[in-house]
Amino acid sequence: MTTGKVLAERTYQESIISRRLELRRQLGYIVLLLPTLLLLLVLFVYPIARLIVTSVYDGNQFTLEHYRRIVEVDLYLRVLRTTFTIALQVTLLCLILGYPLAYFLASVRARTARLLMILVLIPFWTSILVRTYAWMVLLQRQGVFNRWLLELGLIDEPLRMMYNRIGVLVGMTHVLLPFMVLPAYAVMRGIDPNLLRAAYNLGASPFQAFLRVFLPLSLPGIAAGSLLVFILALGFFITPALMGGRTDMMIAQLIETQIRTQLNFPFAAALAAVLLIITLVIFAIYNRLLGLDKMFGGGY
Amino acid sequence: MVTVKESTTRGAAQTGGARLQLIELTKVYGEVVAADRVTLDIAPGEFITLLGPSGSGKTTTLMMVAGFVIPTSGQILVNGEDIAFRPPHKRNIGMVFQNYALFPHMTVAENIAFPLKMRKWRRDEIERAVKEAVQLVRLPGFEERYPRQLSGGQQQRVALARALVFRPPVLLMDEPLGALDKKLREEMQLEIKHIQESLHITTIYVTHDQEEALTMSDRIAVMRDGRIEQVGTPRELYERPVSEFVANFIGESNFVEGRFERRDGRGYLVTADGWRIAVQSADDVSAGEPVTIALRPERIVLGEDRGDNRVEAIVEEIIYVGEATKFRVRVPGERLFSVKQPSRLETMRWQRGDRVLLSWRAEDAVVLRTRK
Repeated sequence: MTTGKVLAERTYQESIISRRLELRRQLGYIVLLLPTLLLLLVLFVYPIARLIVTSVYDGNQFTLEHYRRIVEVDLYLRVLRTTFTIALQVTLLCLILGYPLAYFLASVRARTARLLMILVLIPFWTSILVRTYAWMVLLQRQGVFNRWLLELGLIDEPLRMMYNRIGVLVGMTHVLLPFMVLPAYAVMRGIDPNLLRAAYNLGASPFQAFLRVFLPLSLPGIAAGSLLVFILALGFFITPALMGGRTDMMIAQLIETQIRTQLNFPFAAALAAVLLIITLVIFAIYNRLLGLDKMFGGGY
Repeated sequence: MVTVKESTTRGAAQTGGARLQLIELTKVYGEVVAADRVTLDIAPGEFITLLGPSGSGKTTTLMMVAGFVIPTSGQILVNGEDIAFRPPHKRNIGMVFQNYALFPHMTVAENIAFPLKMRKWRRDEIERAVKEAVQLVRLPGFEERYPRQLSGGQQQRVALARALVFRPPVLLMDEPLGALDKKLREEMQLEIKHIQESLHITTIYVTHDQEEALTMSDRIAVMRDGRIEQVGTPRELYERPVSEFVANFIGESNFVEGRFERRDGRGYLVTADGWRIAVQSADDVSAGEPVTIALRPERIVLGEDRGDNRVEAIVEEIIYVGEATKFRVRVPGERLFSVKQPSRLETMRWQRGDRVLLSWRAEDAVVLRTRK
């Protein structure tokens, strides 16, 4: 055998060995992911598949009847419209309240910011049910707020702040605010403070520097926060159920009624599928425009 | 009509920089005096470097001129007008930041146009000025790129163009070449210097790199503990340092302590152990005064008698650094001297433990007053 052949033989064997090692490494990753994958498959993917199947069968007959009903019946369209309107309003409220808060957190020293962040997170860790009941105590006809306002003489009779849109918006905004603040804060923290200095140095007033440098650079954070809040708001149930008005029904409440009182599982399944599809479409649009991978900062 | 007038005045303002005076500029943070009565008179078009180790107050001083740090006291005069307490965006001073601080969401052209938009220039004026600036820093063709698509050196050029495009009378640079590798850094040093000279813009440059300071500056202000230790041309600072700190921060020095003595009009240093060294005449130093002399390693001649001082030494260590060879040698009184010689065949023959002759001229031994 010539030396060349020996070398070729050796590199061939080495390549087999390296390929085997590579394979083993990939196998290791699969083992790490397996428990989660199985769990998702059994508890998430399978039920959703069943749900969709349920929504398109009537007995053994394939049908799109349930979907047609959603589109054709006025009441259901109104529920969809209400759901979107409320989700949009909550997103806007979270933006208005959350942006200045995130801006403040991003401008104080990192240590202070971490302490203040706990204040944002404590409600985040508290049960939604508890928080909703707390708001009911505050907002109801004989509640804390109404009593104060009456005693101060600012109003003559109690305001209706519950069992209507106001109650739903207050409750949902409170619950969802951290989902706006966290990604917005993460992105803002990543903005180099020297960029603002550079803007001032180049002749930008503080307001112009904010408008032309800080705001555009913080947009990925706002977009991520808005997406989270909007999508979570779409499927909200507890707050609208407890604090909402009878005419202000959201889609999750409708699904619940269909199951609990009408026992109409196929129709409930169709509604759930619609909610799922809408959510996926929004994610797809977001991914197309901004990229889901950049959701938590690292935009530029 | 107004815009036409404005553009003519702008044209006039393009020629030359302003006189910049820092008067007793002081910044105190609690107990710490970050800048202590910093006083500098900088001529129009002059390139001055603030040189010092970290914490010496050079950056604080620069930040006060830029307006990001409010002075505790003192004045900053631009052509006689005090701007010490003016907000940064009303100062009209160009600045290149350490990490360039280019706006990542704007293209090169948009970055450079930013200061002009803030000044509400007309669109065609902006276009022309951006084009000129891009040519000035030799980046034509890169206008539509984003900063992340540029190399470090190119980003540096954009930062420079952006700082110059509105023709400010003063330019500040905060360690602008720190992030570049050595070769590119040396290239940029010359290029920045050429641009600065052609625009005749008054420049304050901050660095801790003494070589950079020597290469670029008309004058250097060496800073230490918030104070200016010495101001002078690169040559003055190197040849006539006023303190051990300066003698050691710019280049390297051997120090010997003793008392000054004068005989036949010539100066001598006499050490406590009786070593007598011929030194520069130092007219302002009186006999008997305690002094230190500073002696540059490359001014000592090894193995030849070429000066007023001769002494025998033992080679302790030899470090070959390419163009030069450094020796650590033991001289009288168990003192260690650094000696630097160009690498030649003659210098290569020395070995550790050899006895060698050192010599140097009296003028090369700079007399420093020993400070309490």
